[in-house]
Amino acid sequence: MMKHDTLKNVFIISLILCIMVGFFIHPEHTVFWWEEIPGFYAIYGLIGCILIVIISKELGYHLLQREEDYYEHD
Amino acid sequence: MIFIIGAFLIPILKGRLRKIFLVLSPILAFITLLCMPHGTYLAYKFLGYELVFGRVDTLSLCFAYVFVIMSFLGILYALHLKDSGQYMAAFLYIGGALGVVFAGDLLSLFIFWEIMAFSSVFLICYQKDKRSLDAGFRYILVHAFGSSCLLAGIVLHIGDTYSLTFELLGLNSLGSLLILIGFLLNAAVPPLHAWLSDAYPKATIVGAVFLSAFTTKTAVYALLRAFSGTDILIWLGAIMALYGVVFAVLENDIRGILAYHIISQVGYMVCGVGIGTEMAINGATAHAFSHILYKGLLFMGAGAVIHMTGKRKLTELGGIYKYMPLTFTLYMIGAFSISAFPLFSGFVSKSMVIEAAALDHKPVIWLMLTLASVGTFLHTGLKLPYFTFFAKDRGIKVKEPPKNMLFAMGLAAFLCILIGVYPNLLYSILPYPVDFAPYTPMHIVGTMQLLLFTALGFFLLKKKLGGEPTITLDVDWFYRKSARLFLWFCKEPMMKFAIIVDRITTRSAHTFLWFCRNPIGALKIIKNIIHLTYLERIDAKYKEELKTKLEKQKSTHLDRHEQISIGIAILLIVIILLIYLVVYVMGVRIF
Repeated sequence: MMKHDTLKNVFIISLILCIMVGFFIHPEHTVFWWEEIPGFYAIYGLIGCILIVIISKELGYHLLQREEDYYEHD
Repeated sequence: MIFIIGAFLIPILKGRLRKIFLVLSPILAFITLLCMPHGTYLAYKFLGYELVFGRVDTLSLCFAYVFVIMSFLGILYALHLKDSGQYMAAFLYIGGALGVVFAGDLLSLFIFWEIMAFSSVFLICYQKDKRSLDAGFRYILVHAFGSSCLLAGIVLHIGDTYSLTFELLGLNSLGSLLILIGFLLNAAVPPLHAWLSDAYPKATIVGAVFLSAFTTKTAVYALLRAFSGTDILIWLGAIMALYGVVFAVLENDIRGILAYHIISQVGYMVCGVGIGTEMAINGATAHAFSHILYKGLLFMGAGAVIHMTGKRKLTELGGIYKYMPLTFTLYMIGAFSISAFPLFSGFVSKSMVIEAAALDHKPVIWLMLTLASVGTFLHTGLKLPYFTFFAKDRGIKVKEPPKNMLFAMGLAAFLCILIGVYPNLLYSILPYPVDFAPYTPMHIVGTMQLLLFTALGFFLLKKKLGGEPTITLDVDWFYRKSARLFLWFCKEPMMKFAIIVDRITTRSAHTFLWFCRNPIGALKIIKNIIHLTYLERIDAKYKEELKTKLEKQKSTHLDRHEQISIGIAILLIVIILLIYLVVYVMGVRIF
């Protein structure tokens, strides 16, 4: 699993790199105030991802998911 | 036009000749498109209205280009098929879509709209199992509803304005509202979207590739043409973008996930239509263009997996990367495009819509759209490929798909990257001049942060995200289950009511008949019954007598000799006629 580990390392390094670069780029002509926070996109991405998963899974368990032959029942 | 005529030639041709014909027709169509100057053609007078079959401008050309390119790719992808039916349906379908795009008036728009609906249903039903036949039925019924709305809207609109021209309508009357509903149904805007997520995963492998490209995008075209700048579309679009994402989390069928992401991506376009600025219109058009290509590619990839493994669920797939590395790579190019990675096509088109929302000062919309693109990468770029190609090895041994499939996918992937790397190619054919540079450092870094941290979130939650062997209820529940309720309603209360009505009428008819057989006897019987039941003064002995008499009367009621003989009956009639004559003559005298 050597390859797996290197992939993981590359991934983590690119995460950090992304954030680092974000600090050095001065955003030009932004419209919303939050665009000027360095690392805003990273936080939004992470939180958004987790939120989407949790909200839709909850919706699924409590409301929407059924057995596969649900519509075949009479 | 070429396609519709071509559709009827397909069954005639056989073998290699057919293949050559199939591949050549899109190429021929593309060359025709390149030569088309702007303007209106093929205008006919019909019942005092003008029908325009060929309105050519930048907007219609842009859609026509990508439709023809996609039809070429789709046909290439389908080239291994032997039966001509699917080709015919596909050709008619493409022809319908192109017809809509070039239609200059509402009536010809409607005609081609119908051609599309009715030919596309065959692409679903050709799968030939019960699931897809049923889904096809639901699909065509829903579309029939949409088309009726559209037609009713068109008729009302003509009544209001005395004009058939297909141009900016705006939401200002009942007619235009109905037209809008017809368009929104085809664009799969919730709650009118369930036909899409219901039918597309059940379509044939090739059919889904075609379906993903045309129906929703012609609807986007129609919206762009008639309803750009309609405010309600902004919110509908943004909700739609998130709606598709949420449902994709729960979906287990791989093409189901992709189908929900069509809804999500079309949401961006609908939102762009709603914003209605030049930038937004450009963005919606560009996004439709690149969406058709990458979605086609994704459906081809998923189709290739299903074609080779025979399995279509995340819970049944896994670990096939080592057998299908090429398919995986090509699929991932599509996935990176839809997720808007820099250097891929989604990046240069999706960001236009989001930027348009920002320039129009709509913070909530901006946040919603950005969140939707997080979800897009999460599913199409991470969840689907991870659980299909990696995850648990389920011991499925497969080969790469046929060469024509790979070749079509390769070409689509090439186009996705080409647009991503060289966006001016796309920008130069958009309806308005483009004042937008996608490759700013801020934009690139922002997108990378967004996507990479989505990936981090995915790997943290990987265990929760696996497919589950369930299906998800959606708006189609209302018509699939309520149909049951309706049937029950017909069977139970309605049938009971019908039986009661039936009984009453037959009984009264019987009584009437019984009375007419022997009116005098009947009157006597009635008189005696009334005597017996209501006149209580009579004594017991007389009562008994009356009862036996009544029994006798009842039993002999229908006997011949008890009834009036024909002679007497005629005499009676003569007497009545005589009286009538006397009255009539006297009447004439008096007045």
